[in-house]
Amino acid sequence: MKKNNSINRRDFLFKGASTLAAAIAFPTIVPSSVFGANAPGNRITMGMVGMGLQMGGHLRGMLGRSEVQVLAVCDVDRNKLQSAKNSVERAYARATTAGTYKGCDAYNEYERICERPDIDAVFICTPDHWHAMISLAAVKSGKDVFCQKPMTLTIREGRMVSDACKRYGTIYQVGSQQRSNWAFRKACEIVRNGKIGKVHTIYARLGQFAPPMTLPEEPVPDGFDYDRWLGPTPWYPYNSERVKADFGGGWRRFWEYGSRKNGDWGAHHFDIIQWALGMDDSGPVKFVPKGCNGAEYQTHYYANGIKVLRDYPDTGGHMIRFIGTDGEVLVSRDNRIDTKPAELLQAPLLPDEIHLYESIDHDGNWLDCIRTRKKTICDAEIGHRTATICHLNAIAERLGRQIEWDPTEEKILNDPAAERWMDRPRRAPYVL
Amino acid sequence: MKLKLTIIYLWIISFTLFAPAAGVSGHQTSELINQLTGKSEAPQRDATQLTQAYQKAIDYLLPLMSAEDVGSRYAPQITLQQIAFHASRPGAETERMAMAMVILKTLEQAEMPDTVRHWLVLQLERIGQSESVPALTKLLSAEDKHLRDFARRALEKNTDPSATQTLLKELANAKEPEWKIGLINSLGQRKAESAVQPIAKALNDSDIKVASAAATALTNIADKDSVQALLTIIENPAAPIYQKAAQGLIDIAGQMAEEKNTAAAAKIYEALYENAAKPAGDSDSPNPFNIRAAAVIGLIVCDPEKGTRELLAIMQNADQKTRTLTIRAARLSPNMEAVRTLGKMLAELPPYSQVQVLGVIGDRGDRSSINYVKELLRTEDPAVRLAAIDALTMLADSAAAESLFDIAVNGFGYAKRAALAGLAIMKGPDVEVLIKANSLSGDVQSRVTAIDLLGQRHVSDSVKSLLILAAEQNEDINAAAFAALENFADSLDIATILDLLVRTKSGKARYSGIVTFRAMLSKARDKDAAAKIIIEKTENADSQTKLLLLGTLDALGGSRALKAVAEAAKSSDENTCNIGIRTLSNWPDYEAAKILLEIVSKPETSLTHYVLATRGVLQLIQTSETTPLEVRASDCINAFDNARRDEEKRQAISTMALLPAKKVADKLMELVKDEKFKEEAALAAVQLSAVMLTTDRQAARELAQKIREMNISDDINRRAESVISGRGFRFREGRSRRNR
Repeated sequence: MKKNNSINRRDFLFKGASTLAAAIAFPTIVPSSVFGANAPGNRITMGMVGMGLQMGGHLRGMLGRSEVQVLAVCDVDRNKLQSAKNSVERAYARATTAGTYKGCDAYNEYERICERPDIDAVFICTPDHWHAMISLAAVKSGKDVFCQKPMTLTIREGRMVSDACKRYGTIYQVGSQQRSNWAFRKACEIVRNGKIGKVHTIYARLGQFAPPMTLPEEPVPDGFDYDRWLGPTPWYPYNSERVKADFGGGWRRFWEYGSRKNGDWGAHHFDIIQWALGMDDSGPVKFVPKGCNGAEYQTHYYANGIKVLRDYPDTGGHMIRFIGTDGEVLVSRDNRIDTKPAELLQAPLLPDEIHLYESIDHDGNWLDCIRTRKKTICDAEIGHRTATICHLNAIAERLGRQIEWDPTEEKILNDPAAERWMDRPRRAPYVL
Repeated sequence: MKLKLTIIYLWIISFTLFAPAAGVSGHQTSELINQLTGKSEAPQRDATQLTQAYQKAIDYLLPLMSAEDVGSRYAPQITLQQIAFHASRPGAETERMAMAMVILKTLEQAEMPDTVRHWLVLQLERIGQSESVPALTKLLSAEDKHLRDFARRALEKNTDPSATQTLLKELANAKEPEWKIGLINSLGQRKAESAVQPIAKALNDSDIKVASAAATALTNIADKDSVQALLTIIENPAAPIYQKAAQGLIDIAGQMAEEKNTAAAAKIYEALYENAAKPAGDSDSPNPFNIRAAAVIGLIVCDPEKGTRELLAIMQNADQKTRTLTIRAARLSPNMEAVRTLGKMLAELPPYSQVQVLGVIGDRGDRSSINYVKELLRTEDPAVRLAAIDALTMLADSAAAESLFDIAVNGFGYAKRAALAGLAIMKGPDVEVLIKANSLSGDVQSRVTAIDLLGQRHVSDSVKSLLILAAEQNEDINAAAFAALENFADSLDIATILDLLVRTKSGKARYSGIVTFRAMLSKARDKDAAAKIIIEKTENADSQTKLLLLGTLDALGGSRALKAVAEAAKSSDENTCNIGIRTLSNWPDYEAAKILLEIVSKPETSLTHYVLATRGVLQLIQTSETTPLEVRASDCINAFDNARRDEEKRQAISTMALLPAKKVADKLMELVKDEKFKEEAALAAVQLSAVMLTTDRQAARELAQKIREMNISDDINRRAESVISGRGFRFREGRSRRNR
């Protein structure tokens, strides 16, 4: 079954939500004129960091919103930086009578954005290894933050970012945008309300990257700050493949800059599974890599026995398949959802049942929450807990052995060498 | 494709690793590596034998890791890493020690590429303990600055206390700012209390980055002396590292609060709050609003009374930015005092803050503030009004429900919609009682609203009431009751609703009843039984009712209903025939296709009925995926051949694009030659080839190739090329890359 969202962001500022222990959602439709959104003095001023492939759509989106004013862009690649600055200024110039606009600053260092008191919010679309450092700097300087998924490179980073958000009153949104999709929410509500009985098995389709590689040294291109690109990660000779933005590979395939597919797609699908199971403040307890003790598929287990298998072949043509004692829910992007039995999909949600947080626009939800100071649909704690699953699966995969995890204390159990992976040491002069 | 690449890659790895050691020795090395990586069972080895085994493996891997072909180095590097990881598993200390010692010995070799040396040190970062410290200490003076930093990081992760001493000694002699930062950071990460003094000294380093790193390291160590050193810095808000020191203290106090050491944490927050309120030495320096807000947020958790006082002060006096951040404090306060205080202030606050405070009241369920919230329902600002409605929904008591109900009945626009949406999901027995009572008595508008809510909330015990309301002497009430009954469509009795519907005379109520009845029919399990009830009812019904009921049968489907509708379509009575054909044209089951095709092919069929029947059959061909493809393909060609007008012929061509059958492809190739349908047929053919990519790749490419060769238009050429290259394209739905 497919469904198209009928409410247009252009027509409504938000279909916002309140949450009480994440158990109830109330959809209010607010017209875009609220908060005096169009008045320049009331706009959310923004700095954008990481002007590559992933930022493209976000930047266009932000430039199209009258309640936002992009004041600065930041990238370590001078060409991308200049091109982003030009895009911003061109977009705003169209709205001026003179047809010119020169109000977007361009920086190599994100610190310049964090230092500016006139910037309210920071949008982060860098590779994963920079997420936490930039997030923390922005949060601590009083900015609200949108950070692409996965939220962090290490488990400790996630705890730090989440704690900092609580301490500074930050509105933080992680880019696991499947939460703002009707079908995924519906699937989670069906599971959460016990409509497929007791869930015991979940399949998640993440796919595979090609293996990482050793690469010969190439000259660093003029205008590219390679040292800053590497940031806190170990030094390797420059090669264009290492730093390439590519959804199918590039830097995403290297362990140094992320958790490969566990981080890339796990940050979406494991996130939905956490939501469906009501585990947003907790997580699984055991992670078994593929091949370990005969495991055919990478699997992680929750304390109540629910197991999540990665890339099990029979996902019924969907991205995630929840299997319970009384039925199944199968869900994918493009608003695709199926249930077994099919009637489950039509069953109404009663007032006393669990209504999950409702958002139909992930970026817009963040902007709404910046104004209302309510929790976003995927805040830092949620992002941290999901990223923890991504990282623990990756750690188990790399070490080639099972990892036991205490989600309350957030500790790896009975394996001192694995514990070292809670964080990664940072290359000088980068400090978290 | 990716799977193929992986297989090729794995083959290359095996070849690269084991080909040089061909024959018996190759097999032995392979077996040894399998044992050392845990892939096969290893014999019992004592420390000496383990050292020999690791040495043998490294001797074998090292030349491969240093190979001229850089790309080939990856597999042996990873093998070495897997050996190290396996040796580091719990309960294998002898193996870990032996592996670490062999790596250390290997590092002493002069000849190897820098990157290989880095890789070896990286393994020590993961598995090294006391045995590694001396060698890593030596590497802190290496010429290669990257190697020095690899060694520093390995020491940072080393669990032996001697690593701290080494790092401290190195810090004492460090000159380069970057190197100092690295060492300070490592000591901080190790929480080395013995390093506090030199690190505190570095707070005054002339290089601000070094001083900042020192503040961060002291934050990580977080002992009494570290706190004191940071507190000294924040006494001067103009200090270059004021922000870093203050941020460090917020982290330390936050950690203390989590450990329930609230008294000590409160002291830090108080100091931060006071200092953040001081004017900075430089008048251009921005007010540290972030620190001030964080201090209040922390204070309210540790000392709610004082925190609430400061929150009040900020809400009354501070700038919008500080207020906005500080609101968070009320959400974290362990008691409700801060929320109540904000509730009392609501009327005085600017709209921007009112919205935020209303959110806090709702989320925290502060019912004592309900009157202040209700006051704001009358405010001018739409955002505030909506936030008040939202808060009332969350508060969910009878007073809140009454207010919302009033807006739902008498309000307008988005406020009315929000109130209705709120009441539809509001929890609590009070809400249900209020809605039921209003559904039974009062003015019509209130009753209609309440009846609508009974349906939306799926109040199961209200079905009986709704059935009575549907028969009342008021068409608005009847219509509302029928509409509400739609929410119970799967549990209602068809005969009961049918009786009610037949008795309903008002057009408005009847329309509403038909919608509900159709919803019920679409969910009926026994279609023939349902059809029997309806058909029997039509026998004694007046002609208007008869037509009305016939028209509902397409919502039901099934063979019995189809028979009745097909007969109606042949009726000599114009009205009956008309409703029959119209109903058939929306039929849900493929069984109707044959009848519709007959209607299409008859010359005497009126133009309207011909158009309806053609559309109906094409719709069935497109959607009936359970019907064999060949049948649908033939019917589609038949529909094309029987079409009287070009409009319907074009619709048939467009439907052909969805049917990956040879006869359809042949038909399209024939039509491409017809000037009249050339473009439509070419487009359909190329779309068909894209569909066929998943079923018959070769035929798909051949079809696309034929179309490409005809060079009909740029757009069609581009699509054809996509299919020829094997990529294909989506022609029914767009897909945004941003969705990743």
